[in-house]
Amino acid sequence: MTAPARTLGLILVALTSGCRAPADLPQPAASAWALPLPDAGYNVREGRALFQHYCSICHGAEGHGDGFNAYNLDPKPRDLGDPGFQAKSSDEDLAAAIRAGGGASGLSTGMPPWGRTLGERQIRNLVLYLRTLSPEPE
Amino acid sequence: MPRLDRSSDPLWRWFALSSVVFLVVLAISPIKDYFREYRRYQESYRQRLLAAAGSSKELKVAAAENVRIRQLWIPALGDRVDRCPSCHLGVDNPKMADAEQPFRAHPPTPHTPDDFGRFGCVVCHRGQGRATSEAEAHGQAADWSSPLLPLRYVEASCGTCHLAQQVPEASILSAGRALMDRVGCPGCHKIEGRESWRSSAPHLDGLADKTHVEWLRAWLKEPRSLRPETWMPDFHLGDDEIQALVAFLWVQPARRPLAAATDVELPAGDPDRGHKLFSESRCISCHTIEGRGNGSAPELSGIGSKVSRRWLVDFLGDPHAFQPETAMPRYDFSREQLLDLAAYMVSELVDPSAPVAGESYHPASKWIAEGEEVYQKYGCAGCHRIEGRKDAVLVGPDLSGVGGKAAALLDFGVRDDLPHRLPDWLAAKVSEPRSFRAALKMPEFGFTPEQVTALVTALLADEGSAVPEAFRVQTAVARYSPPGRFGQLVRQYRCLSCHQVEGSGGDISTAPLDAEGSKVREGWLESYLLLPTTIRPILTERMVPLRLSEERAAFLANFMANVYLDDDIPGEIFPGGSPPEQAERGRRLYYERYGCSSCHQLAGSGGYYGPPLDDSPTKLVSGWIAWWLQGPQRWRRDVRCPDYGLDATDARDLAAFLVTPGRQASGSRGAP
Repeated sequence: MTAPARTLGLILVALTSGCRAPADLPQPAASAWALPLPDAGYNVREGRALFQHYCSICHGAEGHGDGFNAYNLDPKPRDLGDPGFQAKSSDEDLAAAIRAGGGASGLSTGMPPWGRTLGERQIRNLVLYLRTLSPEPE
Repeated sequence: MPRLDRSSDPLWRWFALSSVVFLVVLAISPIKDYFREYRRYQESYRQRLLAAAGSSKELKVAAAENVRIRQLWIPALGDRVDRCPSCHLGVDNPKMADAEQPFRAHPPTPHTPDDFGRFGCVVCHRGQGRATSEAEAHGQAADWSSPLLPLRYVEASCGTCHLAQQVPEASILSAGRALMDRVGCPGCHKIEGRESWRSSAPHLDGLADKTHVEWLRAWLKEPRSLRPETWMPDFHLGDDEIQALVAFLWVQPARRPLAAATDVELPAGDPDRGHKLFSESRCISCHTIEGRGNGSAPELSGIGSKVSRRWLVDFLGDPHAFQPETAMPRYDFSREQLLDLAAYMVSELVDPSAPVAGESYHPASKWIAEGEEVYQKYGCAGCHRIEGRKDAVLVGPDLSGVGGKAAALLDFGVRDDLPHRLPDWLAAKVSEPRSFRAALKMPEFGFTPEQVTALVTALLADEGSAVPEAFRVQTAVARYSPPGRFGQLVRQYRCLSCHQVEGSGGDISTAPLDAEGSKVREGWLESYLLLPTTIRPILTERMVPLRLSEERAAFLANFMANVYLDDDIPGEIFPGGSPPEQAERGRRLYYERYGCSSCHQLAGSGGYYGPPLDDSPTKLVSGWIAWWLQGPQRWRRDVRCPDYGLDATDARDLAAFLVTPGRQASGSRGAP
C-alpha cells in the first residue's frame, strides 16, 4: 500500500500548494523608476502638492524658511526641516499651527490660519509631508 | 455454507480504498482553507483587540470576533466581491493607524474612510478581490491579469473614474495627463479621452522661407542639442533619412508667401529700439530667454540662428497667418517696429554653437520622394501640418485600455532585465522606447524619472473596462466663444491663451474673467488694458501690453464691465464714500488682526505675494472686496489667499479701509 499512499501524498501536496507562505514566492525586483520622494504613497504626495501650492512661497521649496516672500517677513518663516523644531512639535502641534495660524498661539499673524481653506485630511497629509523634510545640508 | 471472507474479495478491497481516497479528496478543500493566512491573521488581530480593549464593551466585542471570511460586496460595480478585509482587519479602525500590515488602518484619502462600502478595495488597488490567500489576492499568480498596483502609481485609479485632464486631489495623475498633451502622445497614439487634442507644433510648409538647411539638419539630428528644453523628441534618424526628410520639407510651398523676396530688399531695423520693444512687450510672459520666462512658448535665445529676418518680420506682423492655432496674439506692430524687433532678434538672440547658413540648397527629386516616405513612416503629421497635405496620423499603437493589459501580453523584446510587470514595461517604453528591439519608431523624449512616473500613472488610468456611468466624473469640455466684435478682438489678442471664461481658456493667468466686471472698476480696466501695470511682481507671467487703441481698450473694458458680472457679488457698498470709523477699524484689522501685510504691499510695506493694494481705491469694487474676503476660494478653487472666516462686519470694514483714497498706514509699518 505504499505506492497509493505516496500518490495520495503527492495529490495532497499539489492541491494545497496554494497555501505556501508568501516568503516562498519570487518577489519582483525593485522598480528602477523612483520618485525623489520617499515612496510613501498617496498621502505624503498630496501633502507635498499642497505644500508647494500654499506654503512654499514663504517656507521655501524644501521648507527651510527661505521662500521668495520670506525676506519681506518679520519674524522670518520657520525652518520646518530643523530637527529641534521637528522633535519638539507633535503632529497635533503642527496640525494646530496650520489650522489656526500663528496668531492663535501668540506667534506672528504672518502665518495665516488654513483651517477653512484646507480640510482635515489635507492638513493631516501636510503634516505627514512636513515629517519628510530633512535638515538643510551643510 | 462457506463463510464469505470479505477482506479477501478484491472488489471489497477496491471499495475500501476508493472510500478513503474519496474522503481525502473531500477533505482537501477545508484543509486548504484551514491553512490560509487569514485565519492566523484574524486570531492575531483578535488578540490585539483583546490586549488593547479599554472597556468591558470593547472586550466583549473583541471576544465575540470569530474567524470567518470578511468581504465587501459591491453590486453597483459589476458585483465585485472584495475579501481583502479578511486579512486587512484594521483597515477601517483608526486605532490601527500605526499597526504593521496587514492590520494598518487605511490612511485618509478623498474617498477614505467614507466610501469603503461604495467602492471596495480592488477598484483602486487592483489584485484579485475574491482570493483568500495573500499571493492570489495580490495578483502574483502567473495568470492573473491585474496584480496589485504599486503605491507609486496608485493615483492611476483616481483616473479610472475622474476623466478630466486635471484632478486636483491627484497631482501626479494630473501632471501625467497634462504632460501627455504637452509632448503630443495623442499625435501618434489613440488615447481614450484625448480625442479632442490638437497639436500646437509649428507648421512645416515654407521652411525654405523660414530657416536654413544646416539648422534643419542639426535639428533633425538631435533637437535637444539646439534647444535642450524642447519637446520635439529625438527620432535617432540616420544621415540618409535626414538628407531625405530635409529635401522633402524644403520643397513644401508656404501657406503664406513672404512679402519681401530676399533679406537684402528689407530696410534695416534698429536693434536697440527692437530690444526695448521686446522688453516692453513682455515676450517672456510666454517665451523664455535662457530659461527665464513662463515656458509655455518656445525658448527664443537661439532664434536668430534659426529664422530668417524676412520670415520673422512677416510672422511677427501676423502670426495667425502662419499658424492659425497659435496661442500668440496678433499685435498691431507698425512696419518700423517689426523691422526693429526682427533686427534685435536676429542679431542678439543667437546661439553661437548653432550651425550657420551655407549656400542655397536645391534638393534632388530622388531625395524628395524618399523624404516623403520618411515623413510618413515616423508620423510627422501627427504633430506637424503641411498645408494641403492629408497625411496619416496615429502611426503608433492604439493605447486604449493599455493600463489593463496583462503582463503576459506585453512584448519585452530584448529587455530581459525588466520585471514582467505592466508599470515597469510602460516606464521603460516611455523612457527608452528604442531599447526593446531594433527598427522601432517611437522617438525618445528625455523624460526625467518624475515625468516617467507621472506618464505611467496617466497611462495606467485607462484599464479598458469602463466603470459604470454612475461612477464616472466627467466635466464637459468647455468651448466658450465670445460673441461679436468683442469676440473678434478676444481672438486677435488671444485673451483665452492665458485667461479663462466659463471654464474655457488657458491657465497662465490666475484671474478668470467671468466676473471681471464685478471685481474691477471700468475706468481702471480701460487704463490697465492700455498700459498693464504689474499686478503680482512675483510672477514672470504678466499681462502683455497689447498695443490697443484707446477706442478698443474702452470697448473691451465696457463690454466686460457690463457682461462679465456675477449677480452674487455686490457692487459698490459705500455709495457715499467709505465711512471713516469703519475704515479705521478696517486698518487695525488689516495690520493687527489678520496677516494681510505678509502677502500684500501697502504704503511701502508688506509682502510681494498677493497683488499690491495701493491702487485698490481706484481699482476694486468695494462689494467685491467684502465678498472675496468672506471666501476667496469661491472665486477659484485653488486661490491661495486663505479663508479667514471673516464675518460680514470685518469684511465690510476691511473693504472700507482698502477703498479709502489716500489712506496711509498711519505710521504703522507692518504689524505693530
